[in-house]
Amino acid sequence: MSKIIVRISDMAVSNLPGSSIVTYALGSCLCLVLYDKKLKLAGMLHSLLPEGKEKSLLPDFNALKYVDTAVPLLFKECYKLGATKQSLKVYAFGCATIRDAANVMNIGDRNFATLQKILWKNNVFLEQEFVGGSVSRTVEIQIDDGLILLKQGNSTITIETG
Amino acid sequence: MAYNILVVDDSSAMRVVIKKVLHMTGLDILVFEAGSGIDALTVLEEQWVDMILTDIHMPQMSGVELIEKIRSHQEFNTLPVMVISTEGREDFLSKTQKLGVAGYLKKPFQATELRNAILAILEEHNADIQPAATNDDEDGDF
Repeated sequence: MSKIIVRISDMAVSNLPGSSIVTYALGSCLCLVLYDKKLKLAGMLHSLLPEGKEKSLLPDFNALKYVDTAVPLLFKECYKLGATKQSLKVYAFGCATIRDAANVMNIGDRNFATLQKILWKNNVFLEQEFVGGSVSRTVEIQIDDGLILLKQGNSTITIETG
Repeated sequence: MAYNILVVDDSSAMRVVIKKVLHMTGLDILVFEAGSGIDALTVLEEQWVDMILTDIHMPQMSGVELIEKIRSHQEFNTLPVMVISTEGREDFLSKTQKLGVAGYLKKPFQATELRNAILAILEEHNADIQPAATNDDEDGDF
């Protein structure tokens, strides 16, 4: 079974039978997972910061680093493989409170607020969200059955996307 | 179009949460806060609001008393009021229904539940409700 690893500021889309997509050590970052049951197609992104649109003209700009620019890209990649907005189930993970030294950044909350704003604007609703707290999470989705395995702290949760 | 919304809750933390959700609706919303029913009436004397979100169990004047006061004023008797409370007893719900509340949400709630409820109520009472215009309509769409 092939495992596609999504790193920070990265995304992956797969309809490869027997494969899974996984991201590790999710703290204040956002992990968004999309799944199309009929097509057996999954997408995952792991974005670091809330807003990057204003930085989009910089030469080293990475759209996947920012929630506001990454989310549309993930949806569009899934559309290329036949999914539609209506056929995709959407799940959010991460956005934990990992305090910086100055204790003021609040990145996790801001990441989730940015996600909600962009989903709302596009008439997309979250099926489920596993966000906040101060735990590190690992998220894996299996392409064949759409099962999401969520490890947070010492516990593992299985989420059915059907 | 901007909306004035009054949030009444004796917990300042809860008022902050509700304010955050209100700002996530994408609407142009100005939030007024009151820590009790009495404070809420003071705000209403000075400021027109389009909607009230109120807690029930508060010192000095409960949310139910507040709604009764509001309904007794001709000026405010059609003002939409939504109750956000830990209280879930049937007799209580029936009482608030008789007072004509526009919505009820039990604490704890999901942000999306509150957002959807607020939008539904505003939509019902304002035919021309539209998300605030943004400069980035072309970007970020999918």
